[in-house]
Amino acid sequence: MTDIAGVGAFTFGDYVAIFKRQKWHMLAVGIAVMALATALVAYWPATYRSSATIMIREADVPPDLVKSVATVFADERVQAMQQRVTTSENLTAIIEKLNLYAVERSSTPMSQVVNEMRNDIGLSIIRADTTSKGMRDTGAAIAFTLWFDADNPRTAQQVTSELVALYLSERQTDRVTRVTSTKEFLNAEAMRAQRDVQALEAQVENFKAKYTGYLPEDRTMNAQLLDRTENQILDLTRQARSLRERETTLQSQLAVTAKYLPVSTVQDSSSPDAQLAMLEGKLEIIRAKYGDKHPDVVALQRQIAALRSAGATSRQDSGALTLQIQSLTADLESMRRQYGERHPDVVALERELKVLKSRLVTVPDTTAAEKSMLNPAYAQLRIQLVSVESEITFIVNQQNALENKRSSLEERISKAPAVERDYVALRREYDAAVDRYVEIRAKESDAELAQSLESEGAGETLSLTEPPVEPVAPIRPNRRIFIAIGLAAAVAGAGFVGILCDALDGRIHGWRQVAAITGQTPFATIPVIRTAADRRKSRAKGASIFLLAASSAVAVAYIHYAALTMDSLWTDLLARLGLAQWIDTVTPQAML
Amino acid sequence: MHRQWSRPAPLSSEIVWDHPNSKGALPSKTRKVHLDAAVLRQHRIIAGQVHDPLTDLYRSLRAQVLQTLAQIGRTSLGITSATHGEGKTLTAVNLALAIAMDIKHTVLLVDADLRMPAVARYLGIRPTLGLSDYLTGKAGIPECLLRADVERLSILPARSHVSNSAELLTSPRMTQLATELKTRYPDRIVIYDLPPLLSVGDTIGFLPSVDATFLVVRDGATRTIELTRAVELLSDHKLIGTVLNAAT
Repeated sequence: MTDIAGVGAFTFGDYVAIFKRQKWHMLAVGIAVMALATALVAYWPATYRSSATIMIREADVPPDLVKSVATVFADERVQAMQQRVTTSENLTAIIEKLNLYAVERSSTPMSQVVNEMRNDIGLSIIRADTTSKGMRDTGAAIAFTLWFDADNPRTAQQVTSELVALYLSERQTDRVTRVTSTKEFLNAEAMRAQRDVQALEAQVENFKAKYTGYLPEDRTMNAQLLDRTENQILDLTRQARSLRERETTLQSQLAVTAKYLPVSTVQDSSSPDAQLAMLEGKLEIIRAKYGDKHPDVVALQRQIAALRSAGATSRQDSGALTLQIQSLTADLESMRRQYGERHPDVVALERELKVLKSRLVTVPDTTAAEKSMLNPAYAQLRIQLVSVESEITFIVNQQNALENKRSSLEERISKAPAVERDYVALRREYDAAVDRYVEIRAKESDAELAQSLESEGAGETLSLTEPPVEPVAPIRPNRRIFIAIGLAAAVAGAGFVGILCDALDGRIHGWRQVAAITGQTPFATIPVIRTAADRRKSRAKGASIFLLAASSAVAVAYIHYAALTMDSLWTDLLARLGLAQWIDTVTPQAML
Repeated sequence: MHRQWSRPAPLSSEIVWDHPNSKGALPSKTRKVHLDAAVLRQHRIIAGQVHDPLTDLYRSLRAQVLQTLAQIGRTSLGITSATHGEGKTLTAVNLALAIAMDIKHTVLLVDADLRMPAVARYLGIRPTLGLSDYLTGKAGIPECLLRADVERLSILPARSHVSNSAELLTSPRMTQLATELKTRYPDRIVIYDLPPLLSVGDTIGFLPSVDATFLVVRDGATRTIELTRAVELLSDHKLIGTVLNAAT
């Protein structure tokens, strides 16, 4: 404590001196505070609480066998039970039966009184640990505490008992119906879930059908196809390029080649016209042999057509024909020699010769032949050019087809993400619906099992583990704490007052203060000198105080025995102070 | 002793001291008084009692006072306090007795508190003459002085209270007496029991006649402001120290 007179911190001895000086002030304050605290404790309106503990014990079946619908969420179940029990109906019945809240009922409507009562009801869940499965007496036992607060203990106990009774009875009757309705509900839900699944299934199929080729599963294939198509296009492009080059070459060659040659040149059996004639002759023969549809016939016809388009004409020139006959005869001779008479080729050649000879007869003698005939080189080039051009056309067509294919593939690939999104979403819905359905079915089967359990009586039980008792001590005010606080406050207050009074009285206390003012320590500190007279006086004071106390005790005793009211006053005071348990032991009789 | 009313008493210079010894003991004509130990105890005068533990305190007080007086080379000391009832007479008497116990010193205790004279009462003596008589011209000093049966202690009581003590204390008669007492026996310690400082003007007026002053403070009774004021008043008058009395 910083010094008040400016002499430095106080020592313990100084404090003792202060308290000795101020003892009367301090005592007065201490007693006043204590009295106040005691009065508060005694007269604060008390609230008593009576609690009961109820335990919900699992069915005698191991819980992992039956995940009974009714056990899953303890909190919610207990809350639901609470709602059902503390209906206005039930509470009104209790209020009227026990005549509670008499004062409030006269002034406020019943609904409000019922609300007040609800506030005084309390419930708290004590969770018991899950014991090992497989044992008979097992499962997640749930216990909860139920209480009621009232202003007198008897009422608290009575109300709590009523509530407990309500709880226990409501369990029994309602459980079976609850499980049944649960099952029916689940059944309906399952049906609905199934319909959902089916609808979604159809949607998925439609989608797949609508977007074939755009689906995620087609993606790799599309990519591969695209790749291949592009390669093919490249290929074709390359081919087309080289063909075009060839075309250009041929065209340029053709440009410098004469179409017709003068006929003075040796008649060549290999000229296109001669060839054409020969082929025509051949055609007649095999047509006669095989008919029009034979592949050889068709091929030959094609060749003839090619030659004709190249410019060869089937001039039936006797000179040419003669030449042909000559060359064929020469061939025939050499073949005869080689293979003999009977060889099929020999025979065919003879036949051909015969045909030609007959034709020679019919053919007008045009030895005055034209002056020119088709240049074989020209014809050759033309034939080649034509074939190249047709190839090019063919390739271009192919290219177009491939381009189309490519663009369609690209379109598919670009649209694929959007389609995928929708598809995935749809799938997800579908999968969820399936899961839901499966879950509900599982619950439904559990509910069926629970129903059968309940109806066979092997369901869970509610038991009252701790019945409500009449409380001895109120929960509010907490008397011990009040009194302890009162005591502490009294001591603190007294100390504070002592020091304050001392500081405020403005008198010199202790040599330090003297030293502070005079600037030097006193030469001596003389204590109070007590004379014999002083001692006599203090003895007399003590004696008179004792006398006063004794006489008042005597007076109280007299009043007690005479009027017999002290006892009840005393027990009343004790009771109010929360010391009821001492009533029997600490009595005036016992003390005296 | 008879009182003379008509003419003033002879001044101290006319006093005849017959056969003083070198230590300043009074002539054998001075009246002797007996101090009863029991009576002293009754009035809390314990310094003379050898077997009281408080005697040591007074011895210590004595030593310090004497030392200080020796330091300043003076011999007269006025003991006062801020207000009434702080124990200055008690302290003065106890201190005087303590000094008397020391064989090196003689002491004269003067009761200068003419408003409430208490020294005689404390010592249990009934003087017939005293300072009040001397100052009112009714007696001479030799008749007023008393010698205690305690060695080396002399007493000049007040005898009765007077109403104009302030004037009397500052009168030339008093001043002269103070000087005379000081100088007659230079080694003798003269202790004046003075009235309270603050309530009356007596002491302040008398202060110039003493060499040193001494303040008595009562634990739990003297107010802080009173003490402060007292110290202020004594600031020019050689306050040599204090005593804290009645400490609890």
